[in-house]
Amino acid sequence: MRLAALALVLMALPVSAQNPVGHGGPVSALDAGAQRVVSGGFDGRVILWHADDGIAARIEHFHSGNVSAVSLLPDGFASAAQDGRVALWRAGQDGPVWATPPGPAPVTALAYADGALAAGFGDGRIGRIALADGSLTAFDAHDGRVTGLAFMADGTLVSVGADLRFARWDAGDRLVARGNLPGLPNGLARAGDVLAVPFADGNLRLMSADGALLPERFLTDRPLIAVASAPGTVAAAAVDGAVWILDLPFLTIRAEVPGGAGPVWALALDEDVLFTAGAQGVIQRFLLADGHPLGASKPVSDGSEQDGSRGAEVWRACAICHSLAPGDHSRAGPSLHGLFGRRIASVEGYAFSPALRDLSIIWTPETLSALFEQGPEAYTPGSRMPDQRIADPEDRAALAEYLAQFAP
Amino acid sequence: MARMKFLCDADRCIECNACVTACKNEHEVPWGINRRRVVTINDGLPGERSVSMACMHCTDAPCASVCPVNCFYTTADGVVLHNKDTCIGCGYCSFACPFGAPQYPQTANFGTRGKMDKCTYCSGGPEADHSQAEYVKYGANRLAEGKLPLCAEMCSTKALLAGDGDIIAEIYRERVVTRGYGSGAWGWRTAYGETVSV
Repeated sequence: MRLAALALVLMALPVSAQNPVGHGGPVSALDAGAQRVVSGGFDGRVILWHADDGIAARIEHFHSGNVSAVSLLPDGFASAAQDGRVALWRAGQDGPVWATPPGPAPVTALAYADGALAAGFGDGRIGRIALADGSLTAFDAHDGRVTGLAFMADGTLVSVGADLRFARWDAGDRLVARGNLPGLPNGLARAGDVLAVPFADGNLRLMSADGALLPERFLTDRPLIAVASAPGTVAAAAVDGAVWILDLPFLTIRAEVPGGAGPVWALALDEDVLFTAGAQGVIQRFLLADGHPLGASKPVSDGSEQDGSRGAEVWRACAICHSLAPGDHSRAGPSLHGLFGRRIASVEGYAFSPALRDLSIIWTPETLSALFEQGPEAYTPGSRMPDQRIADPEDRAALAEYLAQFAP
Repeated sequence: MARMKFLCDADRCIECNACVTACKNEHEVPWGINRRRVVTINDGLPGERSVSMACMHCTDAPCASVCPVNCFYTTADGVVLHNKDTCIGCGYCSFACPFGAPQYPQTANFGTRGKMDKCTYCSGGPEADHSQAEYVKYGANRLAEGKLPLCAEMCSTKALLAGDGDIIAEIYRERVVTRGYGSGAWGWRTAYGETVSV
């Protein structure tokens, strides 16, 4: 589905001031190349952007849950999410070309090279996926989450996992090399014939294709959580929003990009531009040569106000999935503007769970209180909403009072 | 008030997994979840070392800084806990944790339904101490009984120490001086932002 309206809004801005804004909530995955950027977010959306002007060319809402990995392909892109599914998208074709069935574990990494696609899963499996029909062949690779995956130039597949292991696999999924890691790896990027691995201990380490540790650079006391590479360059990001651009082969720091608010979950490089994205929900662009920001950042707003009330404080936990702006259903859940007096699952423009449409609840302060006293699993069974509860009746009343302000 | 910490002396761990089993039993941790695990590097080779890994209850915990719904809190004892009523199972904390502590039930796709589970330092959760609700969600509350985490209590070689950070750091220093070597208190610097100087 193309959202021409969003494109028009972005086009109305001067190009130099644009940063791609379109995700309702944190952005978890990025890939860039050939003047295209693809992003995946906590809102379950995958968005394809024009890299030069920041215009959303395609917005897809297919996955259930956080889109945790994306990869550009020559004629499209692949997306993967916490629903355990991998989907392939081609230019000019509506809907996914194919999608793997929902799986028992989330997809944590994707890798593509020369017609081969592979996915890493949260339960330690690695799957090879046939581009022709999406058939998945998986094998046990790690004891714990696969945290990074990449193809080497010779077609072998390298992986790192939460079991503190490095592994390299040949085309027949046979183990070619294995190594131990000094800490928890949080990603993997191939930079020529070496690998760049960000670690939770704040070190960015280079490794050979056989798993031998090469030069490393201690960047921060905070965990590193994202990495991307281009010829001669590596970028890494930390949970506090700090981003570094480093020169290979010695990981000399070229530039430190000013940190934003909250973690930077994803990085991508394309020619002379660094793309960053994370908790702010916005994709920012920086000049790779010196880290100079390209365009002003535009933080996402959910339409709410932190007015210092207890209700506003309780609302913070809701804002990750709900907006209070009228008609803004861009987040994982629908807008709650004008909630009271509304029948459940009745607002236009949001794809509710079928089970919710069959319920007859009218939202009032009392039913809202009951929802959070009993929890969504009991009160609105079949809902995609996580089972949250608010134990304190005063907090439930404060939330209702706060929400009542946001009405037509 | 003591600042509670874990210390893992990798030179003493014999990979017996008693800490894993004790934790699992004490808290009736569901199938598919291990709040504590033992990782062995260089297995079967010279330089083999094992470390017992769980939540280290970090100073300035990264999990708390990335949680989009602010479900983490730190107790007066320095223990990092979370509220399962607020957790939405998004999984972001698992990417920020240096120790792979956050776990998700295998009965639900993580990120859609499952609540995060992790080591509580045997100190329960936000519910009333020793209540049934606390036990069901978080497990036993030994700290409220004046006891230390059972994993460390069970450790036969005392590779895993739990208690006041200053006291267990001093025990480790004495060990290193006595035996003449020490490969470091694994994870201590990452968790607490300081080294155990000997």
